[in-house]
Amino acid sequence: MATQAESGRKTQSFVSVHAGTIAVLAGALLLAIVPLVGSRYYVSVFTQILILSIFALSLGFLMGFPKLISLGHAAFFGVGAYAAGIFATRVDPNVVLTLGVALALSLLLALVIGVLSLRSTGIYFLMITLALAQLVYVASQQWESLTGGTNGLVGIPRPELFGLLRFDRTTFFYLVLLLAVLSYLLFRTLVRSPFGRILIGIGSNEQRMRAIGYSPRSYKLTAFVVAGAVAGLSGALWAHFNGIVTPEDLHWSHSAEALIMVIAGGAGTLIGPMLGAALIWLLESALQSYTDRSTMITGIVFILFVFFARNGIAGIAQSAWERVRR
Amino acid sequence: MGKGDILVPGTANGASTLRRFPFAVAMILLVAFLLLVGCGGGGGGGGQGGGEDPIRIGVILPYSGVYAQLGQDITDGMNLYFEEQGMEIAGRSVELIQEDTEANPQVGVEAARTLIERDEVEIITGTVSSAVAYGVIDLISQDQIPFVISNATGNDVTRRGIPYVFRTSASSWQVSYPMGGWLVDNGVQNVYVSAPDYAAGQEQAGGFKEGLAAAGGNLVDEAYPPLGNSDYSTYLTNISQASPQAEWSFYAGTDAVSFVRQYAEAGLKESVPLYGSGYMVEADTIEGQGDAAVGIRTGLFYASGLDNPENTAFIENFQSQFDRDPSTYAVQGYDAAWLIGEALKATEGDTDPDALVEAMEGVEFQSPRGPLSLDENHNPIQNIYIREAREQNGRIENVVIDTIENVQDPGA
Repeated sequence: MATQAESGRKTQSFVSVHAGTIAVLAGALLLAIVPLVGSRYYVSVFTQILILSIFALSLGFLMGFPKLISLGHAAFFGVGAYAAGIFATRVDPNVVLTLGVALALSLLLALVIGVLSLRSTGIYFLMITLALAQLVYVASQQWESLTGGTNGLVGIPRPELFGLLRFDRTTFFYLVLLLAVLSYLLFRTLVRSPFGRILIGIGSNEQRMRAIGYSPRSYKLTAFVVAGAVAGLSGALWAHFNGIVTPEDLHWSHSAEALIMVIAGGAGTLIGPMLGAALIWLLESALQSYTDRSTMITGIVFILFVFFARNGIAGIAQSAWERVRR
Repeated sequence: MGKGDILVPGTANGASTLRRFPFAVAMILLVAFLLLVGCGGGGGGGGQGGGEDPIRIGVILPYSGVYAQLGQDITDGMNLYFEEQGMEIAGRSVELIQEDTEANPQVGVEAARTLIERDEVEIITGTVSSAVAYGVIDLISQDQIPFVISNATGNDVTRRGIPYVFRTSASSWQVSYPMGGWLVDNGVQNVYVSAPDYAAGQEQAGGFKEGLAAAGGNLVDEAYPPLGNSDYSTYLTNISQASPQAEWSFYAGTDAVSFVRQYAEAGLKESVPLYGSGYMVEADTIEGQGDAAVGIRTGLFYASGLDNPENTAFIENFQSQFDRDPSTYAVQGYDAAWLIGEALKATEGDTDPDALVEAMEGVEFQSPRGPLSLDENHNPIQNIYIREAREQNGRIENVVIDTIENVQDPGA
């Protein structure tokens, strides 16, 4: 198998190595014409899918490479959303500042949760991230003067840019598209860098990496913080898009949804989680208008993936591609 | 293992995925199908642009959860009006598109967005919960869609003075403030106040206390049990020990049933007469409260026993159509539909937002609740009726014992 891959690399090297990037850029180009041909409904649908795909991408990076399965990822999404929302409503809706504040706060929170939870591994890591994230959830519910409690934080405007541009539905879509592509490229660069190789090594065999002389915890913490910050960014975009943030955005079920997106899309790739986000959004939200059983259908699809396509959409695409190549 | 395998862990068992190739094709087809379904649904709303374009009205109400009955009552009230019009106004047919809000702001905002963007509704109406209303107001302001609120009583909903927002229920203040002055006028000076500890409870109690203080009355003490409480005994003991002249309360739904029953069981009803906001003793709670409700005096903008021709006709039509008694919520729904329908008649079916807003401002109501008009914030100016629950005609009814005329919300 290794020799096959080597010989394939000679002829198909560029396409194989950059398959993900090519797919993402082609997808981005396709999406870029949506506002020109589609109604405002499609613009809105793809804005939501792209925001969720950034969220899923950040978790996918953690699950796929250093193999950190976190059930508290929604905390970063939610804190980013609240930070951007509160800053936009009380101080200034400038997009650079709101996204900056969201990035900074979710990064800080990821640092704290990371330091506390990365002492454990496996199921214990999962439970501690879940518990800490639920603490943040309860805080968002109780701190009513800041968050509006269970009624949520309302009145979040679409952002503006130094008084030059007030984002509307279409321009906001392009902003989200741009940030989605940048997030993908960021993680891609990380994964291909020496740092990324070490993360993959930690994911495959942590003991061996430690034996070679690496300190897995600091690498894992760095990955965790980067992923948390990007999740916070997606949360901030969500706050601007939705105009409302409620504690539900930080609930552990939102983390679980991201987990399902990653698994359905394909853990171990970067493009997979993004596609998974689109699939799950379509199953959950689009089908909801046609049937009351959309949650059941999502469940069945998820089970099918677990049984028959462990590598998700990305795995299917990959095997189909290899089949075609022969 | 080669380097490539580590880089893209997906290839690690590529050989086994290959054998499942037919399944992979099936999955890709499934994804493609879902994309088509998702997109096809989107086209549906806009695709009906034929010659006979219906007027699309989005209805966002809770149809599941604790407020499901309220959502149903409001919807039935609306349907009663539109069916009287033959489901057609100014030559255009009327299409009501319903979405469930679950009384959850996140779900409600998403429902409203879907209605605006996918179904391209021209008017939105609904929301039982004020939290949902606040979220939806931001959305409709962006897209300039008239929004007729048929229940949410949050004071700020209309006090913000957003031109596209109308309300056919009342503000919390409006329902509770008049009772404060009325009690003092009737010789009750010292009052104990209790309400559930959430936004509506605080607003209702706040309005009453303001009215009481303005008339020179005295607040003995106040208590705020949590929402959804089941045992009020400690609060009832405190009320008994404070021995006020009267108790004023706001509770709704199951809380109202528990509180009123326990109040009567504790024997307080005789020593400390119970007054309250009208939502505490209404069509939806009376059945559960039974005799415990008898004698309680509450203030609201409607009473089933109101004697006017519109109310008589409304009750009769509602009963024959839906086989049950209408509630205050049904009246709110009927008036919301009336406001939308009469405005559309005035614009001759034109749904341009600004034309509609102007027409709505000029609508004259014939409401079962009696005189009704809108103030400059589009909140109703209406009578508040002091009602006493009495046993008559073999059931418990709210009988009007006094009327406070033309109560207007003070605004911002």
